[in-house]
Amino acid sequence: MQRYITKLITMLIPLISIISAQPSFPDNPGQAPIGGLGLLAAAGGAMALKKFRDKHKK
Amino acid sequence: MINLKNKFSPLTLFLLKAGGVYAAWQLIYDLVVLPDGRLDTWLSITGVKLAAAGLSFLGWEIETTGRFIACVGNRGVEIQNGCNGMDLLGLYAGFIIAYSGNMKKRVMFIIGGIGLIFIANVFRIAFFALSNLYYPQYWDSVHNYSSYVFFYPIVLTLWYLWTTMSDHTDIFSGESFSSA
Repeated sequence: MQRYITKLITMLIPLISIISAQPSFPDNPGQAPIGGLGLLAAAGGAMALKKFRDKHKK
Repeated sequence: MINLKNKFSPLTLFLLKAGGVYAAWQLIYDLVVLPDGRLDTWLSITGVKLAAAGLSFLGWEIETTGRFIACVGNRGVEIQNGCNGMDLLGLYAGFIIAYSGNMKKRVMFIIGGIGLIFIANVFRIAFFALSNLYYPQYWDSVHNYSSYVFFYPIVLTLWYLWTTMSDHTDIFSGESFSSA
């Protein structure tokens, strides 16, 4: 069960930046968001996963 | 009170915390910081001023007005909200907060990292102004991919350093995790 939750969260975290990049209210200033935040989040998640696994092996 | 450390594995707990911090930051940013505008404006204008000062010091003729920066006689660049690195700060801090470690080092990493990201953004703004001077035809590519050059190596390096340096306990040991 925990593995499913972990996988689900790993897949969903990069989507946060996509969800938050939806069109905003008309009175907000024009946006030019920094690209690739989802990729960065995924890279961070992968880094943490590797560290945890390395710790587990020791 | 539910003990989350016993209920979830350290990795799940990390992902929950990181996602929670980032989601909270996004909410605060979209609902409070962005409509208020002062912090975004300060970040943008300060970044533009520092970039202009640096380029002027190095010999380029620069003109600035508020959020605009341009090499004299060339197309200008406007640093809008959302283009000043603010949303990246939440993601960066979310990782540092979520990954276990010494609290004092964590605060230092967050403050130092935010400072480095801000400085990287100053270089990015200067690079935008120069790219409009020398390679204006590549503006779209420069703008779209600049984050990968200026921000992400710094953020990933700091994250890596944090995971290496943070003196956490053995996270898969029986003390913190029950596999039953």
